[in-house]
Amino acid sequence: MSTETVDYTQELPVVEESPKAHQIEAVVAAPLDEYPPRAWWIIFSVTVAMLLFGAYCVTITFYKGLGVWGINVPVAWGFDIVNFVFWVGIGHAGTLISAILFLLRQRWRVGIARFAEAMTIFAVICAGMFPLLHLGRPWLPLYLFPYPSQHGVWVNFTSPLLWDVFAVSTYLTVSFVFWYVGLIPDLATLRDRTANPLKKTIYAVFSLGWRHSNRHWQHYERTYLILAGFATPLVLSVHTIVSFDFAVSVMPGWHSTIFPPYFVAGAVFSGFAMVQNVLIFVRSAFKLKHVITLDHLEKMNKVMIVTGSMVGYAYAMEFFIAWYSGSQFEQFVTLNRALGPYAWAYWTMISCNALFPQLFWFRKVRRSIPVMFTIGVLVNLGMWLERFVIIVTSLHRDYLPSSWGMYIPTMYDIGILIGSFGLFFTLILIFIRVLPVISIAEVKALLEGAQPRHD
Amino acid sequence: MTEKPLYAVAALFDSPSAIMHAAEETAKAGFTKYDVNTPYPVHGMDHAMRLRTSRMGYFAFAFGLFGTISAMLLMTWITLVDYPLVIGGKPFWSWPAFVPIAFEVTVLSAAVLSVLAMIVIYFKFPNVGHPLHDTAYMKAVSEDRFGIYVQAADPLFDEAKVRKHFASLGAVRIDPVYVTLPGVADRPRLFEKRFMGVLAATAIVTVAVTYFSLNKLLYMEPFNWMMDQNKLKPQKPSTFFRDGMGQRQPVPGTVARGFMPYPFKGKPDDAGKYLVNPLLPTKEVVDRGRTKFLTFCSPCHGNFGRGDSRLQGQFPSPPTLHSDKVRNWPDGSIYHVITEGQNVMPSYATQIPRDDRWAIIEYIRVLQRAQNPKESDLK
Amino acid sequence: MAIDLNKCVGCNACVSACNVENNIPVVGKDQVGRGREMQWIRIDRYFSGSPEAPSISHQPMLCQHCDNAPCENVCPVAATNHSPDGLNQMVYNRCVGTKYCSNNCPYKVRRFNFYNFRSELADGYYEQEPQNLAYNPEVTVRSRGVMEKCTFCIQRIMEAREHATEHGRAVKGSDVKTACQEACPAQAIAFGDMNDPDSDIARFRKMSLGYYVLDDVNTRPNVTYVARLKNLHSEKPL
Repeated sequence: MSTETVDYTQELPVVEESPKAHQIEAVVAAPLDEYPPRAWWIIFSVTVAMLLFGAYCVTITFYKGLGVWGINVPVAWGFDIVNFVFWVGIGHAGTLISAILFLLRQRWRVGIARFAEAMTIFAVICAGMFPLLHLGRPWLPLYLFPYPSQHGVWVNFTSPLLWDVFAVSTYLTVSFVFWYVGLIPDLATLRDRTANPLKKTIYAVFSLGWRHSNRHWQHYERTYLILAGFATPLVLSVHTIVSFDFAVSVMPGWHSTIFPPYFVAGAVFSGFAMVQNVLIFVRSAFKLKHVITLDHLEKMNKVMIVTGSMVGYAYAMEFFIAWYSGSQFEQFVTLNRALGPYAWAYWTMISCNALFPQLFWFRKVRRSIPVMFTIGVLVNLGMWLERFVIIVTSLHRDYLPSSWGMYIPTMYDIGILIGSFGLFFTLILIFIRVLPVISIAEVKALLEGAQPRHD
Repeated sequence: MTEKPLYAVAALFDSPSAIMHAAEETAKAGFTKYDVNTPYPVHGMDHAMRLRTSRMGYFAFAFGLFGTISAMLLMTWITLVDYPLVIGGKPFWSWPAFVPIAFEVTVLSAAVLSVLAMIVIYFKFPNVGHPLHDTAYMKAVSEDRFGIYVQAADPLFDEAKVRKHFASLGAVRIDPVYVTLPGVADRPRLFEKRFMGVLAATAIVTVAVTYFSLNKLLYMEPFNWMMDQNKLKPQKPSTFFRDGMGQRQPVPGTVARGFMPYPFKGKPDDAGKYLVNPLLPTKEVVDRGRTKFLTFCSPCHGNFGRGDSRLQGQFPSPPTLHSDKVRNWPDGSIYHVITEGQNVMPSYATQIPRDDRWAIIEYIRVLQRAQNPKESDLK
Repeated sequence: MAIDLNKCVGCNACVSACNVENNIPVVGKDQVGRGREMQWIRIDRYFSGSPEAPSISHQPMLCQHCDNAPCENVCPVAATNHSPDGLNQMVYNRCVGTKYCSNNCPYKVRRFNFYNFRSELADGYYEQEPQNLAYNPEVTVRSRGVMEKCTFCIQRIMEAREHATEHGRAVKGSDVKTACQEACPAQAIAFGDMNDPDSDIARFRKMSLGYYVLDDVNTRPNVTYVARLKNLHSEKPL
């Protein structure tokens, strides 16, 4: 049903080709019943290899100490925090699609919501490991939680890192709860479909005895709405709090009030790029092109223009404010970003984040799968480099020139980054074979003829 | 075949309009213990079934408020009462800094506790078994049919009547549903055996893992702790020195500052010849000497120096201090005896400071004079 | 503390004294090359003039014990806070090593133990006897993963306080001599109680030549530097 002209006065169909409910169920549940094909095993072995390499680097780090990384004084945060912010940012797209688009009654979200939420959870798991890994004494993470201890001392509530602890753990928990609540009806459907007794037991336990009763649907719907309502300010607050790690400090280049909205926009931006990239593969691998349609991908690209432009505006504002503030330190940091030893990262970042996504203004670009995939990859690269530029350039040349230094990542830094990607994609690959990637119940509710006609 | 009690009569429909109509008619007919099962929420069904609005919103509000208040109270108590710390020159109660945490705790408690409330109160977790599970009816509803059933426990229930009612509404299929497990779908019990068993097993595993990690694993290599610092403190052993002690004795002949060594070790005659009592027999000196004498000397030599303490008669008997020998000794000799000891008497150098020794000597002279007074004293 | 830059010649005696007093390990050329030198006080050198005729300014830089310490605000576990007598304290056994405090310090005086420098380098040279006998028993030997910095020789302050308590009086600023102060051959470092109006340090703080480093970041540091006066005219050839 792809047409050359799109009629924007009509709401786009959620699902193309008008399937029936049982057809939707069949196509979505198919990967769960079949043995994985060879392509899946090949990709899985690659991601597991990446994960194992990352695990090896982590083991060496724990055993010998943080000296195996490239961090030093002044640059005491390197790839570890860059990766942390990167992965938390990627997680935000899922919650936005699930919760915010739900509140805004954008029905086209149903095809991508479940997958995006799963990606959020996996991304936050990847992110959550980094605060632990970067500790000098990682065997004492419990000091970060306020519990009544024999020392008598609690935690420092004015520290943004502590706000991070609460924010990221809340985000992980609430995202997981939101995702799980959405899964309950589908798990019940799978329980009633499957003949395998082991699978049936597992689905039966986790579906909590769901029997599609309308008395339950009533409370379920209300709870889902409440969760979406809470998840929306949560996602905005989480990356705001992550941005406070930088904005609350006194370092030039960090101490800026634009950071919270800049980070949230950047998070949504990179998250959508990652979701778009992965969905392009999933929809063709699982024959879901009529549920995850080209129109949906186009809408995601539009979101990327909006957020990418916000990020570009923030870059311009940083230049302006550095000049307008009159602070020599701020001005130097800005110039150092553009002209100093890390200028290569800076200019790559500008082109990947502010320039290339502007191509999405053209409809042909928005609807071309190869081009949008490439731009998505470039956006991910650019957003990773943005965190690198923010963290490393502000630290490596700050107030006193006697402390200036360089940050050179080691093999272990890079290995842990590779490992985090390995973990992320491994979890996605397992997810797509174990749970339905699309919310079956929600899609059924939006098919033609699904709701009563008012005769 | 055992007779299983009838639980309900269930009917399937194949369009959303049909099930809506069926629900409306069933509610109108006065049935109360009935329910509708749809694979997805059908718009308007709540109204058709005449259901009250869900109360979940109130739960969420209450839990959220609880989260905010408890977070703010905890942080306030910690920073104002329990352990106030000066951090960065900020006031103790820096409430703007508490806002992010209070917000996160609000969202966490509202979300998690609301979902728990939903599954425990409304879904009756862990009593989630139900006669409808594994029936053809449930399989059809899970896929794409719409169902409605009336329970046998409904006061208006009559099997034939209900079947006719459903048939008149255009049901595709009508089936009876039997109770498969006794007690299921009755009043919920929280202490269901299997659930409790799972909880207990989880608790035991958690305790074991925590104990092992925190008490054993964390003390193995490569974790290190500053409880054992590789430096030498007084009283610590050392494998470097032959005697195994970390604390070293001073080299022989070391003299402490402000302290002169005793020059007449082993030389009592020289001590008598060269030492001169620096103190004059003033009242303070003699009083001090008396106190010290009574403390250190009287246990052996008696309260008046007559050697008449309780040690008298034992071997060897402490001598009297009023003998001619002692009376004729110079002060320095007495000083030497106190300092070095003599025969069985040990050295009192560590117990009696030097000045005190001279004071004792003054007092001894007083005692001696009292025992052997001159003629002029008695007048 | 006050440092008179007119007297400082950059001899590094204070650096050596501090290292010995506080059990600071020598990390070796490789680690210094990676930027992980362990010096709680360092001598910053700033060159001005031309390469043929450079002139140099020294500035000993140590923890400024700021009143509005940026490091204290950001430590999540409250491992660094302020003592009642105005010192910025570092609690080694609470530190989990997030390194945020080092990032936030505008003076970059905080040092991190990236390895257990005592056992990890040179075949564990520091851990073998008799090297460990050289440690000051009054100062903690830090393990891997904790942050450390100048403490204004708190072990000496505590000792002075104990002596004063023995004698039943309050501790005086002049009772304490920090290691760097003691070692400086030019006596360029003054230390004491700024609340005592008769002390040297109170006079230094009021000097018109006295300034604070990075004053406008509003960290309110407690180390007063007395600006160096140079008579440039007399240095020009006649």
